[in-house]
Amino acid sequence: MHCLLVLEALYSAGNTAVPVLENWFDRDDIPVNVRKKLIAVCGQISGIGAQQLLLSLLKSESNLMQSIIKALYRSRYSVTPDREKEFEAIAKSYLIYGVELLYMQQALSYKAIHYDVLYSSLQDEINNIREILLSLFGCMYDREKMNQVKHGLSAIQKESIANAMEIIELTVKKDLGRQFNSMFETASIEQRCTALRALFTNEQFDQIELILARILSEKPIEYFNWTKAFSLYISKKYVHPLHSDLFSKYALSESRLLKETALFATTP
Amino acid sequence: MSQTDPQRLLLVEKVLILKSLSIFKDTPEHILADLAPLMDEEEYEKNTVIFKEGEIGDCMYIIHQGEVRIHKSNTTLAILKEREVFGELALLDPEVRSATATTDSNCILFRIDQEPLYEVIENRPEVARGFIKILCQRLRAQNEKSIRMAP
Repeated sequence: MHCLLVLEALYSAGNTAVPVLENWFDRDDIPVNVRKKLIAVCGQISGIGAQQLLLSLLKSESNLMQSIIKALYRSRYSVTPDREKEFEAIAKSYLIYGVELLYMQQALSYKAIHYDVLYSSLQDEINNIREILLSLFGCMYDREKMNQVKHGLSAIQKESIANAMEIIELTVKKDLGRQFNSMFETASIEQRCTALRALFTNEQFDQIELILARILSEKPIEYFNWTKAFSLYISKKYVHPLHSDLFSKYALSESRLLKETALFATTP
Repeated sequence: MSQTDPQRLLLVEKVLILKSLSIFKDTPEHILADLAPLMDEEEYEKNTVIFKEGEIGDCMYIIHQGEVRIHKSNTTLAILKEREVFGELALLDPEVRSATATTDSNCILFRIDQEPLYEVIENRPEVARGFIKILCQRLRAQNEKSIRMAP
């Protein structure tokens, strides 16, 4: 409740709160979950001051990149020419991350049915990457059109997806747009992986343990707590031995879900 | 099951139960993970009244094991089985129960109360978005049904 009141006060104060926020980001005693909320408030405040602070955080808080990008989009930030290359590079990185997750899904699709939940959890992660990419494109190209794409892709109807992809083709830089569409078109997972093979980093996913280890190492993305907890769970449930180092940090997690599942996974 | 208490379900397992319910089948697991800690496990013997018609309800129930009879006096309206829910609208909008719910066998139910749900929603608006989506889907389905039934 205390945290909520502070966030509300910051939001009400608007741009005058930006220097306060800037000081807080310099402090080491503010936990990650609170930093994420402060970043979101920055996005809500919007204005040049808040946007400049968010841009500076792209470097200093790179582990919170997802939250920062969503906040920049929320603040209606438009990329200036001097930052175009930087934003293109970020978009390219997220496309590469998405491709890796697609390859994980492809590997899981050949496995037993009890990995379906992990498959769908990875789909939620890919959907989140889609949101981040569209937020980036909204800052880089045309916010309103990217809003239309977001709604079109969420509708899960072939016609609206086709319309959304056409907007991407017409609005986004050629290679980024083509790769985005290849990732989210309604083709089979094999076809999409083949189309995006050039972006795959050649991680090996032929064994479930390799996928679980990658997720629990929080690579190439942070993942939702759920995805990590479920990976811990199935490592024990379906006997996929993993190095104990992968569990230890979760046993100390602030998240009850992660902590409880890590203890379950490490108990003989 | 947890190693410390073999009877207690892990949060991960509660999420899997929520996901198996028709009302949450389209809700991502990472959002259901915020609801799972609110699931209070309750055991009932056969023929126990869970709530009575006319009472104000502000919680929903999920049947984990057993069967529940929904009835008005002696007239049975429905027999609900495992993985079915009842009282879900009261979770969002407290209302007078329109019928009585009585266990038809020994039951294990999960109960989710409104107050802790609202606390979660304050911190995680995605949870509210999930519920709004469910309500919109139901409303659209109801509208389509009305259109089909119109003369």
